[in-house]
Amino acid sequence: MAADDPRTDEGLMLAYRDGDADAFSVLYGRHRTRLFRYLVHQCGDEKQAEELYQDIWLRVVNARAEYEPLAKFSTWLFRIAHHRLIDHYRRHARDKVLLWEGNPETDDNPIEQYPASPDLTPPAQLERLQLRARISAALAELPEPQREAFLMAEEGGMTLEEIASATGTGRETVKSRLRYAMTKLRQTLKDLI
Amino acid sequence: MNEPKESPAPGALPSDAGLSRLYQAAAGAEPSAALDAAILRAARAAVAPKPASASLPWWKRLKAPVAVAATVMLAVMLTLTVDRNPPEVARESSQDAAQKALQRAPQSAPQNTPQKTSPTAVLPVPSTVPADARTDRSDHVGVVKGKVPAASVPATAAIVDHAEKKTKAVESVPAVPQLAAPPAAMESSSEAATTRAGKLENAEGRSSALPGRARSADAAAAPAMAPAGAAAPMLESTAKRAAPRPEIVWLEEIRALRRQGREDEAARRLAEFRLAYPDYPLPEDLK
Repeated sequence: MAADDPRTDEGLMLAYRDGDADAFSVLYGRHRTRLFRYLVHQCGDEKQAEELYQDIWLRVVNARAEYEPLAKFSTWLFRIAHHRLIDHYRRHARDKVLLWEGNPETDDNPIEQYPASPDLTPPAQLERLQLRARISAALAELPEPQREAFLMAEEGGMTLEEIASATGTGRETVKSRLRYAMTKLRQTLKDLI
Repeated sequence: MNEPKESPAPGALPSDAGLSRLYQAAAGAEPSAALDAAILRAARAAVAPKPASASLPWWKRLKAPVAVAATVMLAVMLTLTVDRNPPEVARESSQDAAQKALQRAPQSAPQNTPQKTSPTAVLPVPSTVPADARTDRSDHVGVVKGKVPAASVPATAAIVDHAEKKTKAVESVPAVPQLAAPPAAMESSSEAATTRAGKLENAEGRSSALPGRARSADAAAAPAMAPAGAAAPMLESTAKRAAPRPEIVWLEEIRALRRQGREDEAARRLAEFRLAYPDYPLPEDLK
């Protein structure tokens, strides 16, 4: 149903704002998997990701009256997800917030020094997971900003400008984060590529 | 060699096709069906139309308009009622008309024939009522003002009834020797004046609220019931009892005395009249 509808994401959201509930269903079908995977890889916990996922979609529903198609819908959606994740980190992991609130222009090198959470390290995952676990672990090893840039590019299909807009950073910063993320992932998963 | 291959476009993403393919092949996480259903249900509920207000009963929907309409109608009806029934103004205007008619009477009196002037044509008028009693019309509108004693209110009501009976009695007496009909204006005004004077003077006599007023409906009716020959003594006693009296009454009495040839008494009455009303312009026949 989502693939059959010729309307763009922005057109569907505008239709939903005007009361068309079916438009929201189509829009939801287009973005449900991407957003959920993004959250799962960002949180490292599927249960928590579900909670965040539901909360983000409810924010989209409640913000429909103020929606204006100033950017792509995916940019708007992932910006909401980005802010919701920051709230989540503030409550549950203060150290991760420090990563988000660092200077975006100078965070290339310092951020890379922060390790991922211990339960997401590759040695713990490799014993019980196959390829999926390897990739998840590789993603988890990435610093949060780099992982977010990578996930937004892979799951959201967003450009540098859109990622920069969603995360509130500069375009060159996003480009740098993305380059570092890919380099690290290639090194981690080089036996699979 | 392991560096991501950037596309030549300046705004393009750094891309790695092998890494991207591997990631997409391994990605398998999806939201549960229950989570999808909950989100879609919440989204539909958010844009679902609210229950229509037409389900309310009509009297609830029209409560405010009906209240406003009733208020406006009540205000309009009250305004029209007050406009069409101005109690103060109507009574005041009839009283003024009576007074004006009485004031015109002395000027037209010399043109009357001697037979037209009779004690029966002279009726008590409200000008004898003191100013405070005339201006205070609380007995007319049923409002008792502060300066009227509370004890006099029921007495006034009873007195009004009594005065009306008296007035009817006077009107019902036949065979009064009417020497002449009064002028039309004076007749109409004197009728109303008789009634009011009877009411007021009865109130004076019985409630003692207005002392110093000796004239009453009885006194006014007495000349009408008496024969013409007995009019003079009765007028004399009446004049003695009523120090301030209407000018027209006084002058008619003086004329009556002159017609009867009692010039001395007429001159004495005229002197008393001049003392009581020094500024009143005397008719030509009495100068």
